[in-house]
Amino acid sequence: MTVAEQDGVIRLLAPCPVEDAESLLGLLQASAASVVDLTDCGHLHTAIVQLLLTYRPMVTGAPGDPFVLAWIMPFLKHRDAGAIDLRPGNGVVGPGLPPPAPGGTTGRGVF
Amino acid sequence: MDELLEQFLIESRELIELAAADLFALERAPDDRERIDSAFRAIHTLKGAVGLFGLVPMAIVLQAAEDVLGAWRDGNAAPDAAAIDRLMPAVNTLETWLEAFAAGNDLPGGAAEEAARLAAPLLALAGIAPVSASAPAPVAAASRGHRPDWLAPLLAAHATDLAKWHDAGAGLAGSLAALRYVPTRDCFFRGEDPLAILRAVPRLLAVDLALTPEPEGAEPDPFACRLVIRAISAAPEAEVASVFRLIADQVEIVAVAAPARLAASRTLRVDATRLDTLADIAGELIVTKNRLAHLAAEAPSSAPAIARPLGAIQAELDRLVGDMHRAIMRARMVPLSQTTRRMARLVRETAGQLGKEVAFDISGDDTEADRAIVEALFEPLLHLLRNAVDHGIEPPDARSAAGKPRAGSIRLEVRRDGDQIGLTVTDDGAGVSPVRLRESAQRRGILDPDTIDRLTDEEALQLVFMPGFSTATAITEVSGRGVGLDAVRSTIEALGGRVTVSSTEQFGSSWRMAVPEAVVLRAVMLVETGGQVFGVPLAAVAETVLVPADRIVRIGDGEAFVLRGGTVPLLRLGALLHLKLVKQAADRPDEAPERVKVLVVQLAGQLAEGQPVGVAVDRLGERMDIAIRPVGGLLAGMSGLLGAGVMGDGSVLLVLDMAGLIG
Repeated sequence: MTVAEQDGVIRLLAPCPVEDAESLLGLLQASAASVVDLTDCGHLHTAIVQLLLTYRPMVTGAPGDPFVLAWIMPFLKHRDAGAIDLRPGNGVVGPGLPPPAPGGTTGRGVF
Repeated sequence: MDELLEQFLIESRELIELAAADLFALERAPDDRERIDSAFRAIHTLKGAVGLFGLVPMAIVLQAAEDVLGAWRDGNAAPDAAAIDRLMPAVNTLETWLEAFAAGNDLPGGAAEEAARLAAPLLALAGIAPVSASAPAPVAAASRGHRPDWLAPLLAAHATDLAKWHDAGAGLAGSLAALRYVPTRDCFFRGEDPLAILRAVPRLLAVDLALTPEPEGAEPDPFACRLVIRAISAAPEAEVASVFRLIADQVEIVAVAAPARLAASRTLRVDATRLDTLADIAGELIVTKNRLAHLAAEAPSSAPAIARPLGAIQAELDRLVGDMHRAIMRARMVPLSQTTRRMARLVRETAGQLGKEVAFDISGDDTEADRAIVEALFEPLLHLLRNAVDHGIEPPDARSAAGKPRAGSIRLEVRRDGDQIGLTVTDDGAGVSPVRLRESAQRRGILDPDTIDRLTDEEALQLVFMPGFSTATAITEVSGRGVGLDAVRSTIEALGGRVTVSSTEQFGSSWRMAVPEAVVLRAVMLVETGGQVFGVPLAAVAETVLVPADRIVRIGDGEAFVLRGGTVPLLRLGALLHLKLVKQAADRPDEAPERVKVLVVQLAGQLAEGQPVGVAVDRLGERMDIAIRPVGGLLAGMSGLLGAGVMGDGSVLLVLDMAGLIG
């Protein structure tokens, strides 16, 4: 198990495979935890990154993995839409926009 | 105009000029690796840009040119005159097409056939079998220039990242690979991890991640991939493609030429008129600052309480405005090469038209000057160079007969001399004959015979700058009848510069121009005569002296005085300006009438170079920095008037051109 919650902080430990997506989804939906700590994470599977982009918890810690630090982290850190360049019309919803969360204004834990 | 199009036109013109300049240099020095690389880069970058606008004929020619330059670069072929003679028309045609596109948003009719005709010999040079017009080469060229919609936003969003990488020496010289990777929704179930694949892409420069929206009302499915990845890599396209070889259908990869503006990191293109506006505002600010200085000077008597702090603020403002003005002026500095690099081609064309052989050399054109100066130098330089080709350089046979090499040599040298820019055009042609100039001047009645006789040879040569003067027996299409050398002089003088010529018959001529690096703030000295105040550029004033009235001697109609053992002619400013001398110095009892205030003016250029002249004025005032603007309307053509500026109290100061006034 490389996803663990303690005191409202979700920690991602070591490389997170696709199987962790379900437990992370559960934690993000169920817990009041709004913080995800990446200090000890390794490679993050696309499914994990996708969840973080969808639920946009506060992400802390500097990942030791240089790829995650350089290319993934910037998209997880910014919670404001202004930080990410999003152009209308290219058919995608960027990380900066509120997640597709019907019925919720904060977009987190309301499913 | 569409901003993208405007940018494209600006950059494409520059790239064509750059490529042309490189080709000329290669004609002279075929081994110059840097020039080969530079020409290749220019053509390659241009090819990428024309693809963006679907200019297929241009892409075809550029592709062929790039193949030739690529062969040179890789050492598979060597540049020679024949190859350059095939490339040059191609570059000229590209320029014509570009201008046609700028004017009418389309290429001229028949461009496609013309492109095939131009490309075939180039491809042959590059060792590529010529292809028929309908063959795949054009298609390949066009598709290599193809740019999907997502590309431009991606490049724009990461322009600064790319610039940083460039600074860090990552070397964005060649091309970049941009990719858009849209994994299938079920890719996780097939064991694919798109981010793990992205991790394998070598030399990543930028990454963009985005999520496609979940269908309306659907539960988020953690195992459905919704990520869209866009990235830029410095690795070659093929190397990037190999990472995606198993999922090639999910990814689109395009090679992008590292755009020139990315390579030139940390620079920003600003519309020149915005800089002009800034410069104008700074000029106005200086006027306002001068008015404050005026007020601050009066404060000790009128408002002693605030005099000290006002003085301090005024001094601070003075410094800041000065700093700002200098910074704006620096921002307006551009290298002279912006003007001179167009010259090589024009000299070549002119020589071709006249059947002459000319080797043209430019040096020092990385010297910088204010944009206005650099642009204004185009016409005079063009004229002097054409004149040198037309009237200076002899036909090849005549040169052979005179024991000279068949090809004439013309050199354009640029150098900085303090805050002046010196430009010299030297040719090894026939030279100018002072004897013939004298004859011509006499025949045309430009000067009376006595004056002509008194001229030294050096002075007589300067007669070529007189209006309506020509010594060429044959009137040619190229430089006409000598109209223009006077235009050269008036243009250069309007810039605050001067132009002179020296020449030795049979050995050639040398045309020297000196212009200020910027036409902005000038230090002037205020003088008063006949109750009016004028400005005199401080640069023109060698010194000011008080001459006892009894030391002034009359010589014929004129006056003179002795200064440090030399006789200096003395002129009265009031008389020069034809002013009614209502208030002579004698009306002022507080000033010693027996001492005459004299500006010693060192006349730069023209007939009496270097000789000091004394100009008597009623009063000598303070010196000040002032922005001089050319005067318009009725005053525009008035000789002796340099321009006008606004003084601290809001009044207008006329600034005199001493050389024009006396000369």
